[in-house]
Amino acid sequence: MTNVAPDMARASVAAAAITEAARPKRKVNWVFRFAVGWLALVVVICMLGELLPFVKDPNERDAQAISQGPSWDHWFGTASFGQDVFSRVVIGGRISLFVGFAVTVIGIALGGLLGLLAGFLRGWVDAVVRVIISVTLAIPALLLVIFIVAIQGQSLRTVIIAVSLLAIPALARIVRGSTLQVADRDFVKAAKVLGVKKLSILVREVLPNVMPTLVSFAFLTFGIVLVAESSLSFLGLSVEAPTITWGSIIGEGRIKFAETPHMVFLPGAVLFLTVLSLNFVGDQLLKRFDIKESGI
Amino acid sequence: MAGSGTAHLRDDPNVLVRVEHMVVEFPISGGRVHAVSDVSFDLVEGETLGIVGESGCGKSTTARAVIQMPRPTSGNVFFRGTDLTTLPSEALRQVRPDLQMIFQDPISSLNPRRTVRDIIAEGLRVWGSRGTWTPERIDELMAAVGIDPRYGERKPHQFSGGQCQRISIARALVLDPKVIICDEPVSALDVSVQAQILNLLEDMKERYGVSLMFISHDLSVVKNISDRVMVMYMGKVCEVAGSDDLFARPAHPYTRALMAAIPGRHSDDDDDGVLEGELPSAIDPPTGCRFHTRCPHSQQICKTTEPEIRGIGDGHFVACHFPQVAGVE
Amino acid sequence: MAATTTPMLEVDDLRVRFATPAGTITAVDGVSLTLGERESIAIVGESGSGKSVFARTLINLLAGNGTRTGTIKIGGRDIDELSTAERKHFFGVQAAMVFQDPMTSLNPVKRIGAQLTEAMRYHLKMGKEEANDRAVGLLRQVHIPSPEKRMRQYPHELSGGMRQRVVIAMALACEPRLLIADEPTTALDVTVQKAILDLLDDLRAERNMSLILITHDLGVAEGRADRIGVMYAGRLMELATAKDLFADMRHPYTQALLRSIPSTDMASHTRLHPIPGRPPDLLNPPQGCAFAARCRHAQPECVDIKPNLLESSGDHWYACHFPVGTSEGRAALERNETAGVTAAGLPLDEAAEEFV
Repeated sequence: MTNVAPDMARASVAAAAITEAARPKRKVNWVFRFAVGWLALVVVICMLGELLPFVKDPNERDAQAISQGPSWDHWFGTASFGQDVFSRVVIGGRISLFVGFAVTVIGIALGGLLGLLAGFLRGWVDAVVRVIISVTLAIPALLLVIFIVAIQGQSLRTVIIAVSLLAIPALARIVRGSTLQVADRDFVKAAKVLGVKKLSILVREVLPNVMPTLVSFAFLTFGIVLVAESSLSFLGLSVEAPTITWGSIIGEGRIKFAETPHMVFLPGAVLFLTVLSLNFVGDQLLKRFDIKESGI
Repeated sequence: MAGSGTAHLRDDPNVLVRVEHMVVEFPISGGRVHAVSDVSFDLVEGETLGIVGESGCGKSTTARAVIQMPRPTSGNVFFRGTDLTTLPSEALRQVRPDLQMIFQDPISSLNPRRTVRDIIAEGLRVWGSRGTWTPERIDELMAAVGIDPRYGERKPHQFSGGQCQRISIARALVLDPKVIICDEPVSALDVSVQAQILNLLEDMKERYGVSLMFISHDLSVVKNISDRVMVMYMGKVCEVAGSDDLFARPAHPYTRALMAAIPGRHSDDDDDGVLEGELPSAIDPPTGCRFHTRCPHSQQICKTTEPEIRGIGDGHFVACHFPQVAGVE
Repeated sequence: MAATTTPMLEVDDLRVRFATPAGTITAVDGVSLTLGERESIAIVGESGSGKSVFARTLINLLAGNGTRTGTIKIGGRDIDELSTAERKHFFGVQAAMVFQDPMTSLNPVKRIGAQLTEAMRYHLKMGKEEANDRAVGLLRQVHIPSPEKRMRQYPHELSGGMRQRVVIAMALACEPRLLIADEPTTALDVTVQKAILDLLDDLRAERNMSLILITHDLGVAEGRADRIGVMYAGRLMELATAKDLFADMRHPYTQALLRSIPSTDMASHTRLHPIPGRPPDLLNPPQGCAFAARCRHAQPECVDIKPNLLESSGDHWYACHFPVGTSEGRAALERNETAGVTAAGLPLDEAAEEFV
């Protein structure tokens, strides 16, 4: 290359004119901040649990305070044997969050893989995955869970397996759609033309573009799983006592709703805010990632 | 078969790509789309072959089938004597670096999540250096296509459409290919930018000795960049000729219609540019010459017998029973 | 062109601004224009020139984040002074629009007939029978074969060219006096494009309509319009009769645009002359002439002062301090060539022209 210098000179003319792509200044979204803050708070408190000075033993009975409303001693009031509801929510939250996390990871890993392969390879792989998705989604969810619980017995593992079985096909379908879209873009063809191997195309070109969808849906899934677990507890299909989850606390409160409405409303509020925050963060992430695509 | 034949294939030792009787069909419910039907052509080293025609004529499919994306239904594609159509996929992958491609949509053809330098160097990552370019010289390549190397770490969305097309060109050049297929590379660009890319392609062709297959619906663009032009209609070759020669004496009635329709050439006395009727279905194409349903010179024979490609002098070939040239019956 | 009667369209100092998250964009920046009855004008420009926004604004189709200043009079009526009742039967009746993509104007789940008759029944209070007969007649007028059959078809059953004909028929349904066609043929093949442009020509003559043709293609504008306006960065740069514009262009941008386009009249491999640089950032528009940064004539004055669109002679308008084909223009170019660089910093050697 003899004429590199003029090339450089020409290119710097180009440089002067390059677009500072009109990227809108992001307004500080206080709702988003609140949602992230709430989630961080919930996770930290639940993880630390008993280590925190204000969290008591969730099974300790206070005979002086039975079925009492919120007070300075018992922030969320007490249950029918005098247990501290706030502490129960913290310790139960640990289990609920664990179920949510486990199911989300399993769902994203297995559902994501199925969807990715189906959308990228198409052909018979896609056909098989589509049948699996359709069939599993067609099975009445509740019956499936009852069936699994009947076989496996009530345990944490059963709950995670049962809810995962519902999450996998749903996530597979979403990832498949997203993959189909990405795999159709010209840069994937360009990689093929360059002679890039299939696996490398999948990992380097397709996956990074499916990832944002995946991450956003992970948050949404997490929220849905929390609600699903609570519903199962409510129906008595989730973990058995003495293990506590948010769902089981609410379920207990429901039995004596007239005496202990705080046992339904306060844990319910925590659950509600957590799920709402998860949904909101998922939605926002989806929107933010999208801006990168829009380009010119 | 109409519009078929191989009279226009050349016996040149420098032929890089030789396509013989290529057929591409896509099965759909209720039949099959005859996208490319018995098309033959060749590309000589250092040459630019323009392929021109309207939407649905199979020009893009023809070019993509050369690089086996998709693989043709039948026929042969020889690249330097090797038949690509029978190569197993790993052997085909080994040939890919020599046959590169630039796409129409500058945005869609670059991965939005990778840096420009990374995109351009991708070929080297797979194959290592194949001659001119090495990872250390990516800056030089960027400069050669008119992208400031200082912007190598940016993502594609920070560049304009024209700049994205330059990046695509660099990505194709990095492997020192023999052939670059340009599929409507300037159609999505503004006219002033279009000229930049056309000039750049000419320069790169000159400097790095690549041959181009240039697909476009725009006759002026094709004439400007091509040495030889092939006109297609409904998956068939209508006419093949040197660029200037084709425009000086278009012989196929379809070529003439295309030329008369070029905007700006409007005058009240030419009705050539308006074709009668609609484009027939590619699932059930017309018998005989596929253009006969819309051709102003159509005769009985056109409905029954497909014309063979034949020479009318000076490397000018036409597939028509009644070419519009003095002295040819 | 100057009509003694009321002009069909009078636009005075039209400005359209859009509020975006990144700031305010002035998409149309002080355009004034008069269009006589039966007259046709082509507005030519590249993407981002504001030509489409201009067209949409005329027909009151401004996006929600847009604001407009300046007056628009159609058939002598200021569109801001229409009463609500009048407004209902004004746009689409007095002035109608044809868009680039016919599918945006057609409802995919409704039959062609229903879509065609809808407007007539609503605006002209026609009965079903009457509207039907008229729709068939319209389809015939836009040269759609077997119109009765087409009336019962859905948009997806027609080809792109046929769809665009249907859209034109829809626009004509209420006998507009002004037709605005926004890139009506950009999505179509050349042979179909020619047919559609021919059709618009004929219809305009038959119906005494005025026509505004928006296009990015100078070739399309040539021979299809009485006058051509060249837009750049929201401003009209030059406005002249079609003949004058090509034979005697004044604005360096018009000249540069024409020089950058390959033509079949040129020999193969003729070196093209791209326009160096790129259009200005509309978020931070330059103080002076919008084209100055890319212009071979640019002088200090061009960088500082925005030229106004002024009439030179015989209905030829241009906004340039140093126009092509004048002694000032020649002198400016000479000065720049001697210096090797324009006042806006654009190098004038061959190499610079090639690059973005």
